[in-house]
Amino acid sequence: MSALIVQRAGPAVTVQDGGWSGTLASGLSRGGAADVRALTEIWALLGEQSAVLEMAGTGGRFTCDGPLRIALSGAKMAASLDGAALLWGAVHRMEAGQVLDIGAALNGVYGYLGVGGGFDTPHFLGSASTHRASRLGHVVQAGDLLAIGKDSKAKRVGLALRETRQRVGPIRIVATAHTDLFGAEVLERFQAADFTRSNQGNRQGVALECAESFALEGGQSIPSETVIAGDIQVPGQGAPYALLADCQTTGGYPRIAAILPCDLPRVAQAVPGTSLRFTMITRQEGIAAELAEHKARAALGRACAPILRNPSQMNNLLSYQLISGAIAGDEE
Amino acid sequence: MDTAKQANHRPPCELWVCMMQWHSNRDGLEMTQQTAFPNLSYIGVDGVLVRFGATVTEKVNRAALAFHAHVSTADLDGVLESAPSLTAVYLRLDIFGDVERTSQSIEAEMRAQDWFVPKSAAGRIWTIPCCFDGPDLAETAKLVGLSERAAIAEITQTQVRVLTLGFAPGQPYLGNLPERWNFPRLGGITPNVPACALVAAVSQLVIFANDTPTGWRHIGDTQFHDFKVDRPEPFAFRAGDLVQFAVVGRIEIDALAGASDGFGGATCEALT
Repeated sequence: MSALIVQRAGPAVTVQDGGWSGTLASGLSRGGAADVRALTEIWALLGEQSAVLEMAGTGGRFTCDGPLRIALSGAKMAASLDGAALLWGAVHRMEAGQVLDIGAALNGVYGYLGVGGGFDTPHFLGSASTHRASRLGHVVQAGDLLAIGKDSKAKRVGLALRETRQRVGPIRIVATAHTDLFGAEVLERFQAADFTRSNQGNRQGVALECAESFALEGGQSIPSETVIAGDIQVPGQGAPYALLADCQTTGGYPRIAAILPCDLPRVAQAVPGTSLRFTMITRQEGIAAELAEHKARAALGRACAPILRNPSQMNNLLSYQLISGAIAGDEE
Repeated sequence: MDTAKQANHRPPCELWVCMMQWHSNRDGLEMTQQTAFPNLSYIGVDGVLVRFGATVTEKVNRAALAFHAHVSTADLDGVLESAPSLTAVYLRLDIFGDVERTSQSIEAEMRAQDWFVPKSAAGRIWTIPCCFDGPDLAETAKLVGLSERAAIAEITQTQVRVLTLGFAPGQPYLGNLPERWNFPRLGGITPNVPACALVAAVSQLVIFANDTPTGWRHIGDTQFHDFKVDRPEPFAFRAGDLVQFAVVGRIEIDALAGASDGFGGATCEALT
């Protein structure tokens, strides 16, 4: 059994998988990867569903003590193996002694690193996910030796995800607990408003700043109820707050809408300052969109294609490497 | 014993047909129409919420817990998960199934019996040692209009119930204490109240699962860990459990910190 050795790690590198099911009643939220789409991309690249490293903001420097498959997805980060740039959204081979460097995120918040065989870290009720408030899972630190399970698909390397058109436009929302209480006029304003992902945010949720208020008068008298990732809470004062994977399980703030689960990764990946807009769809449309997304995710594995080594791409990759110290600043 | 009975006395239950329906207009929330409880509404793409009342009362909470217990064991086709809160039950549905049909079967279960009729009191009772010397005890006693001694006695003589678990893994909301304990949370936030602390507000008690900033008043310390990952039952409580606190001194409570099961000297008995 081999291991990934952590030489250096960003402040928020954690082990994650699909999270928990059935623990809401005990006060433990779903948890798991903040960007479930990216998690399924890693799984498609590796050809297995295993625990991965979620890297918020920045990655780290890793070595290994035996040959390894590494898969990269989620927010693009400058990645290199022994100094040679690595294609993001792809699965590569890493040899013992090679140095994997993963830098700052260039177009999002959460990057993911998977390994063939998966990380063999502590599990709780079937999930290896890290939930900091519950001290579950594993927060990766320099000096860690992360055990890796047996890789049954060692030859599945040199593949990349086919470029998929990223969905653009407003984030889709559906009605939830208190949508009716807000009334048609407020819901119209909510969908016409420009929101900005604030500096305040983590795996529990992100604040959405807006010039106008959507507060519900009398909203403080609403009894505390079960809340889930995707819910948009509207406190009496302050910005609406979109709940993410590690949210609390109960909350007493009125909830104006729920973000469609398949659009939630876009909110989780929005860096501070990103503009966001919302559009309400029906529950039936939402279910149809979810089913379509599940189908698309299931097809990701078959859609992986050999990495093309065309010169223009190589040049591009090389340029990334040459200016790696400066690139974070130029990006958007 | 008489005092204990009095402390346990609860006011008559509120109307289960709540006359309130919030309706938003320019003047804020208004009561415009009669809403019958329980009722079912959709939550996001894959959830339904069965509400049993608009305010947290004993009767409403018991009905929610009874319905949760029922759907948890009924194994309804298409229901993936059920979770109770103070006044409602959330159910997560399998969107690969027939969501409309699943919702209809939940609604049928909801209508099948009167969830407000008290069920037999099978369950468990915890006795949890607590040292009542928290920094907010004196002010809390003043708020409830009792001496510190009498305030502590009122808590230890009341069997509180786990109304729901939430906020943090395994963390119980215990209630209800007599009405005079219905004081709001602090306006400011106490930066760090330690795990296992006993805190009070809004006629409820909480044993904190983790160190946490809070507006609840810190009245005592237990050594009871709501959640411990390496225990056969990692989550100590189930909603509906009864809890009684037993007074111990500072030296004793500190000594109980060493209990390897994380229960801090607490005992749990099945009610028959």
